[in-house]
Amino acid sequence: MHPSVLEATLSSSPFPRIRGDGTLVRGTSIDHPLECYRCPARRCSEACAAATGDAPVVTECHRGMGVAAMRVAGTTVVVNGILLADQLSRLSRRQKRRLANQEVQLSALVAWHAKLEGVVKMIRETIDQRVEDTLGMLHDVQTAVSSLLRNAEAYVEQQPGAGFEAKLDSLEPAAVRVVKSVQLLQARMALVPLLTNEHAARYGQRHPTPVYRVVDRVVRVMRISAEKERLSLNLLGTSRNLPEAYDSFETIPLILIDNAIKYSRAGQAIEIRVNDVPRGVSLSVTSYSPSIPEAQRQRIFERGFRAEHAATVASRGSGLGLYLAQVVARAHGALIRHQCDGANVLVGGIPYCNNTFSVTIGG
Amino acid sequence: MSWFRPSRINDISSIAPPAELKKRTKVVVVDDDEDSFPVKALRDEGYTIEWWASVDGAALSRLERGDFDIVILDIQGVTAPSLSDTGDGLGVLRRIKAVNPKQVVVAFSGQSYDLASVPFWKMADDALRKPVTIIQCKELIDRLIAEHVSVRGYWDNICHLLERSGVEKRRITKLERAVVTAAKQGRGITLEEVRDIIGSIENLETVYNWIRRIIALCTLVF
Repeated sequence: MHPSVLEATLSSSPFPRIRGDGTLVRGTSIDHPLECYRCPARRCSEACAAATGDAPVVTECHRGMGVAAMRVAGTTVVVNGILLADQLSRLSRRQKRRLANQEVQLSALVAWHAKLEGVVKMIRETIDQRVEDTLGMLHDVQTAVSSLLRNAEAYVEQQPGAGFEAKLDSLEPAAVRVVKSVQLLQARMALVPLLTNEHAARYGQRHPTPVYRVVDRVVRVMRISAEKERLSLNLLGTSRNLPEAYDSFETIPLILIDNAIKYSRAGQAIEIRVNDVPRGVSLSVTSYSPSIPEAQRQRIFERGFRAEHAATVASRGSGLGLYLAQVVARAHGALIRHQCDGANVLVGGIPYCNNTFSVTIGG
Repeated sequence: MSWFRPSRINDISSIAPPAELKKRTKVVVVDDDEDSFPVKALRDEGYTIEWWASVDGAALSRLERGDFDIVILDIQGVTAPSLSDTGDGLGVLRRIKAVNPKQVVVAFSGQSYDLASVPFWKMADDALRKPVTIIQCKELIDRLIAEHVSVRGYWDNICHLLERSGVEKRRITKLERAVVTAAKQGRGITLEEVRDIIGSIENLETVYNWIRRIIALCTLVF
C-alpha cells in the first residue's frame, strides 16, 4: 500500500503514534505525555523489531511508557505514550493522577488494529477491482486497435510499390500520417502491460535482432510526433551486429525518442545513434532539453519520478517512461545511462543542455 | 569401390527455397477475433495459414497430432463449449505440450498485463503480443521457419517422441534408413510401414506426420 494512503488511514487513530523518523503524531482521543515530548532518544522504533505477527505487541520504553507495535498493510505502526492497566497500577499516586488520560485497554488496541486491517483490505479490494475493470476495457481497446491496424495495412498493401514502406511512401501525406498514427498507437499500447506485469518484458524468445532496422522503424513512426513540435529526428551510425533481444526491445528507442520529443526545445534536432560495439550494439538518443540536477540523475529511472523543470516544460508526463525503459533494459541484462554535456544555458529561466540517454545491448 | 554404409538423415538435410518453405509450412491461428491476426495479408504473401475461431475435440486432436508446424494460440475464448473443462487457451496449450512437447506454439494475446497469464506465456515457445502488425507476424513466422522447419529439426522431434515412448535405438535407426531411402527415391512411406518398424506406439500418428513433412521437404530439393 502506498505510504500516503496508509498515513491517511491512520490519521483518524485515537491513539498517539510515533513515525519511523521520530515524529510524534497525537491521537484524536489521546495526546502524548510530557515524557514523550521531552524524550531525546525516542527509541520506541526499537519496538518495531517485536512486531512480526499481526496482533499488537506491547512493551515498555525506557521511560516507563507503554509501546504497542503492530503490522498493518506490511508496515509497522507504533503506538506510544500509552499505559495499560498493569503499567498504570505500578505508578505512584501522583503519577497516576497526571497520566490517567494515557490509560488504554489492550482490547481497544486489538479492536482498533482489526478495524484498520478491515479498512486496508477494503481499499485494496476496491483498487484491485478498479484495476481489473480498467484492464478489462483495455481488451476492447486492443480489439479496436487490431481492427484499425488491419484496415490501415490492407489499404497500404493495395498501393503500388515493392514492400510495405515503399507502398506507404506512395500515399498522399495525409494518408501517410493516418497510417503512421495508427502504427504509433499500436506501439504505445505495447507499453501498457509492462506497468502491471514486468515479466512481459521477457515474453517470447530472444532472437538475433537487427537493432538499426528496429530503431529505423521507430524513428519513421515517431516522425509525425516530431513534426508537430518542429523537431527533426536524425538517425546516424551503422550496425551489422545481431545481438539477442526480446521483441520488447523496441520499447527502449520508442520511450527515449518520445521523451526527447517531449522535452526538446522546438526547432531542434534529436540525434539517434546506433553503432556496433564488440558483440553488441549501442543506442543513444541526444536532445537539447532541461538539465537534470546531479542528485536526480538516478531518480529519473524511478517509477513516477519527474525531474525538476519536467512539468514546466511538458505538462503531460507521468514519470513512467524511463522507468519502463529501464525495466526492459534490465530484462536484456543492460542499463540505460544518462549523461549531460554540462552546458546549462538558461532559456526562459530553465537551464538547458545536451542530454544523452544510451544503452548497449549484447555487448 | 564404395562400401555400403547406412543412410543417415544428414544425407538429405538440405536448404529448400524460402518461397516453397513458406508455402509448405502449415500455420494455424486460433483466435475468436478474426481481425487480430493479418491472415489474409500473409496468405497473399504466400504463407499457408488457417484461421480457427475456436477449438473443439476434433480440432484439439489435430493440434496434438502435429498437423501444423506452427500453432498461434490466443489465451481466451478459444475453446468450444464441448471443451469447456479444458481450461481455455492455457488448457489447450497444456494438452498439446503433454502429448507433443516439440509442437511449436506461439502465445498470442493482449493479456500480457495480467500476472495470472504468466504460465501461458512461459509455456509457449514464442510470443506475439496484440495488437500486431503484418511485419511483426511475418518476422516471427520466418524466424520460426528458419529454426524449426528443416529435415534435421523434424527428425530430432521424431527421435524425441520415439525415445519418450521407449522405442529401441535399432528400430529408430531402421526407421531413419527407411525415411532417407523413401525421400531419396521421391516416394511416400505408409503408416503401416512405419508401424511395422517401430510398433504401435501412442504418438504413432504424430510421428507419421513429421515423417511426411520430411519427405515433403525433400521433394522440394530432389
